[in-house]
Amino acid sequence: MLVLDDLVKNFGALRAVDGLSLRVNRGEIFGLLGPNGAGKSTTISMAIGLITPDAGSVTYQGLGSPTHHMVRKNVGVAPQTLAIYQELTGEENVLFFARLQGVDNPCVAARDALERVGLTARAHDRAATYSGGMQRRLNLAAAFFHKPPLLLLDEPTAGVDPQSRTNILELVRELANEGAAILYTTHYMEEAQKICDRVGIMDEGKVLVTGSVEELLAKHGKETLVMIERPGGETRISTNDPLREVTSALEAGDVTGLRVERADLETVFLSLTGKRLRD
Amino acid sequence: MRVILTIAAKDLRLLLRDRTNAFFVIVFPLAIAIFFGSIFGGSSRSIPVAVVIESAGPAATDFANALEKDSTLSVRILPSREEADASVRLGRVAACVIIPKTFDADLEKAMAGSRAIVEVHCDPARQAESGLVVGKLNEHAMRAIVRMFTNPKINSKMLAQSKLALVLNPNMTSQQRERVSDVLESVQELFKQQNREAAAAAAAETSKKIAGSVNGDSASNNTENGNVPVSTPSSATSPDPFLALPIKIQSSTLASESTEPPSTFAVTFPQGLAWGFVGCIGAFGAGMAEERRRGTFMRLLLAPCTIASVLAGKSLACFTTCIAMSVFMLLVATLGFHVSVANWPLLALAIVTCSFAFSGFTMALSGLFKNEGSARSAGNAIVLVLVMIGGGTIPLAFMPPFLRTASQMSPFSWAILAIEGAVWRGFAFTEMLPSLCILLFIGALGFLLGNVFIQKRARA
Repeated sequence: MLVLDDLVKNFGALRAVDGLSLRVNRGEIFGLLGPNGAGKSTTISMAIGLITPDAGSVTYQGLGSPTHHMVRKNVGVAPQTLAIYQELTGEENVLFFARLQGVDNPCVAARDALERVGLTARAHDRAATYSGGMQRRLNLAAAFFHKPPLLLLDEPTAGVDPQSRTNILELVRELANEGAAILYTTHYMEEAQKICDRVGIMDEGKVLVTGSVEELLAKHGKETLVMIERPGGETRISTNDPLREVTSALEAGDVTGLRVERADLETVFLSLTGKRLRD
Repeated sequence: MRVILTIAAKDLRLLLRDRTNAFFVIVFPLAIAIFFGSIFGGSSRSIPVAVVIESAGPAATDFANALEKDSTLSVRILPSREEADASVRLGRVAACVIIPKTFDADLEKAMAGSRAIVEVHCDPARQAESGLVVGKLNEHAMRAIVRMFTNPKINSKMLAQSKLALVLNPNMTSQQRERVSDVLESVQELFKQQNREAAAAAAAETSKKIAGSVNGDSASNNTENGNVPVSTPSSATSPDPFLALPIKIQSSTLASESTEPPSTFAVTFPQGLAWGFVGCIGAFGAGMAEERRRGTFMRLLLAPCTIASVLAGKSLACFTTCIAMSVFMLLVATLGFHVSVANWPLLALAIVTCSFAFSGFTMALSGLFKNEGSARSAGNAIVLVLVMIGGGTIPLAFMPPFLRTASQMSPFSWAILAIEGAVWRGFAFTEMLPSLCILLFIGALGFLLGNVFIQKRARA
């Protein structure tokens, strides 16, 4: 659905995006992972045609270039900044954007979107009175009310409570199941592991690696670490078969504690860049 | 202490890196200081006045010449009172002074109770300037009278004319005529004595001067225009020198012939509307910057519409508000303050045109600034300056000439003129047309610039 090919973007002397290429297919959630300043938001802006790349191309397969405003109608965006009007109610917000998009039945579209994000009960309250999590959900509702085939979600769970996070992640999964192609940027690795079909790890404007979570863990993740506590001290074992190591330790007896640390995307990022994600 | 210094250094750096903030912290206060300094400290502040000399006599010419020489007034001699009145109505001059045909003749019969009238037609919107003009005219009338009474040729002729007028006056009894004639004889004798003394004093002064020049003394010359020195002890002790003067300054305000003289509110109503437009600009001028700050600008750009249509939507909101504000003001003015409007269709046209102009102007401001803070502070500052030089706050009377010229750059001055034209100046459509055309041009230019600025911002 979305094809980014060898994108380059410079801001003065700073190269924000450096030869980035990726593809997001229908019904797929592609997670773009990286620390703050890695170039994720710039990539999103180029993907929706708001920033013109210095080199490379953006294509919506079957639709054309996003530089044309009628093509952009097929995109839904939830920017990292809450792009809502605090002075309007939840319903008025979505209704405004629905009318702007020229949706056939904007009232129905707005009501449906608010229902899906769990804001029906607060639809007539001003957005300024919402909690941070509710505002995030409203921001998301303003992105998908018109059921676009391509959704670009830039850190959609930034700063939300666990309940809203779960709600948002479930909703994103539902939207992908309905056929939307979703480009999802985050720096929460556990989120990416939970919902993304494929991920791309980004740092300093470059996509270092892409693939499914399992593929990346297998290729770039280190062995699982098993820590066995006994009265005499702690033993650390790196292994590809943690179950076997745990079983044999328990059979040997005298075990006072057990911990297993599996490789995750954080480990992959550390392995690829030599630094931690939140450095 | 370290933390405080670090934060202060950071904030100062941020201030200097934001050029708009730096401008309004440093350059703008300086500009304002210079502006007010020019207003209150300037030396040349002449009030534009039209003068029509209908009398062909020397007194009228002298009076007009005296006005022309007065540095407080900027005199424009016009051939007819119609043209002079039109200049006042169009706001080109603060007042027009008519020296009527009978001026010289009336003045010559002053000793017989006749009074020469000087008409002043004032612009009701420029009361301060008009007041100064009337004051100046009274001053010149007093000087003319002093010249008249101290000039032997003039006062002799005046006495003769006055005696003749007495003889020809059918309303006087022979007893009254005789008494007044006695008074005139006494005055004539007084003038003769005064003239002799003045001549003697002049001769003595001349001898002294010659002696002084021989001795290297640089005595000053007190003669004025070849006349004998003026001594005015009587006028200095008079309780009200203007009470029985032979020249009377008759001032009136100039309004549309079809309406009654405007009330104060009729004059201030256009200024009120101008401030209403300022409010509209304030409400919408930061609109685009707000959208950018909220992040909703991105959503607007992603909608299947052009930036120009987003701008048009915003300017429509501004235009509607301007119209609604004007209608509200108009209702208050007509129902609450009984303001009568000279020409309703022209007023409607003026308001629609002003609303268009200020909507366009607002869009230009809206696109000009990147962030909301700059848009609000800089926008307000620009509008404030334009209102000030447009006559919305400081009367034009207190402005130096270059600022009066600069006021023509302010859309507010044209808006006020157009609305005044329809409310009480009694403009014809052709008289209002220049203001309307300028306002339409400002509006169209504003939309164009706004679109260019916002397109540029959208790409940034």
